[in-house]
Amino acid sequence: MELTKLLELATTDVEPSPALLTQTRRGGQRRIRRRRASAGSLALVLALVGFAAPRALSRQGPDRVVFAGALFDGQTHGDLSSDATYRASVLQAWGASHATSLNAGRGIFEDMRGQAKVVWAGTTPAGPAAVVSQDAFLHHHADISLEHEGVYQLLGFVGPGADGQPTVVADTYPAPGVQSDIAWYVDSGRHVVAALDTGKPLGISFGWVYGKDGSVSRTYAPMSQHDGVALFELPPGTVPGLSVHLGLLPVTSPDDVRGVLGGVVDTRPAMKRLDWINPGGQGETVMPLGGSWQADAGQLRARFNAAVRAHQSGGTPFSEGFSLWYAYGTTPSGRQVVVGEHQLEEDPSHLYAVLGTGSGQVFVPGGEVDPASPLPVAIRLPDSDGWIVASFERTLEYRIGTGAWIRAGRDAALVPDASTAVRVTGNSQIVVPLTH
Amino acid sequence: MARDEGFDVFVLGASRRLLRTAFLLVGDRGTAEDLLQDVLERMYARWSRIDDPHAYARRAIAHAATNRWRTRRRHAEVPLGERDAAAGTEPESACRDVLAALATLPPGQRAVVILRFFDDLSIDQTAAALGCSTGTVKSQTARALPRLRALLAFAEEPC
Repeated sequence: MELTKLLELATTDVEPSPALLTQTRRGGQRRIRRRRASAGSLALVLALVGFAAPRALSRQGPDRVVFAGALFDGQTHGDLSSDATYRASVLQAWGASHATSLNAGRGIFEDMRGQAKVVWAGTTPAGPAAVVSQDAFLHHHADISLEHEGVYQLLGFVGPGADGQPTVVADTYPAPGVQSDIAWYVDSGRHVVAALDTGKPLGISFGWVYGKDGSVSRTYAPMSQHDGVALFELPPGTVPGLSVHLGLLPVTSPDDVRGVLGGVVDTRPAMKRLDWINPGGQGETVMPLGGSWQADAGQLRARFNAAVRAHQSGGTPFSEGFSLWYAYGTTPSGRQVVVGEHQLEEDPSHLYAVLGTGSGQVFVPGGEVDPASPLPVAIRLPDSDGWIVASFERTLEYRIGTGAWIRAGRDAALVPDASTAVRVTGNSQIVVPLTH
Repeated sequence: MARDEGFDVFVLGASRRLLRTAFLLVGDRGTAEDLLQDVLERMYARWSRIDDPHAYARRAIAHAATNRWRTRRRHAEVPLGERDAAAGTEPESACRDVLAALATLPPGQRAVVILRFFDDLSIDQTAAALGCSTGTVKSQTARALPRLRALLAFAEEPC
């Protein structure tokens, strides 16, 4: 047999996941969205929501790409549409905002075409707000992703500035296949969210809710419609988190989620929560706990993710979460167990154990993970099946009461249910009590 | 063709081959899947500027796999001679043997062998994909084949 045929034979069973295309597109759109809303001093002020491009765009001829929707019918909408003074001040603010825009470095304002027009002007709980539209010829640029050079519709989102005068808080362009930013915080205090009306009821959600039973969900509050723009005023005292979702009501699946606010936030600190166990590594770290069960990363990932997602509702258009490590083994009662750390968007990661298989499977939530702890992982299994503890590149010992320390392993270990403390030894030695 | 449509066609048509290339390069299915998805996401983000998606993807996968070898040595490699006595089906057995043999090669030689004999690239194409000279491809091939031949039984192929 030739080497070529040997290599072919060795890969016969290797098939891509049916979800690869969907996952890749979501991930790619997220990368673009983050790149466009690049980090900078203004990034925390701007908080944009992206909507799936095919729903937000329409094409007028081969060279003009525009936003789609009732708002773009040539008229000015909103209860301030007849206020010529306000419209004029909005247009003046638009023209003056380009030099300081995050998108200025991408050259989108260098070849403006036609006149700017206010397409919506209305009253919001935070004060008057507006949407401005103007065409520009976009050229290829090192930091802009275009399907082709040509005329694109630019949008400017306007709110009342600190001095009450119209201020452009964000601008965007409709790159095909890219999340288009079509919602914004009207005020710098983030009390009012505005979004371009999609023609269907929109809801807004301010974060994941983690139940004690391991469930993870979101609730969506309806936004009010105002002649082309949907508005929502945050209840007093509400502090918007890092992942605010907009969705088409009722939101029953990830496909209903139309945008995630918070993409301008650098996620690296959050990623460290997952990375603590293998800093700088690629792929997943697998830590066997002992027992007869032998599994690889793919098997562990599949079992862990299926269990976590079965307890998750609401969805996210970008990432369904993942773990970068798994500890697994067989418990004293003979059940297989997998432990991992799951993170949704920018939220703190959570620890979960999946015990047993099939109809007898038990899902055990372990709470938030603190990577700075000397023992970041300590999850107690039900039915006295023990504790799974982990601290990467540390030696682990346990004891029961005042008994002798018993070596349990390195990196991760399954220790008896009656254990009362774990001693973690690296450069130093720390005793961590196990709270029953 | 619109970005999404063109990208979709590429992914649906090329992902199986690319995943298999990645699998041979890294020796682990889960890692290969992650590596491929990462490469495809980056391609999506710059799709309009990629002239030859197949060449781009192969190059990116080869580079990512090489970087992985440089930065991570904790990955358990399959030792030769530890085959399960109750070996499974022919493809499973072949897979185990081939991965074990490839694992004995230095990263550069491994990549050259896979691109040349699995992806059927020419010497010039392999050199372009790996960012090295054609002379390097020839010398790496010449070093790798005798070693593989000592571990795997395969017939002579033109280099």
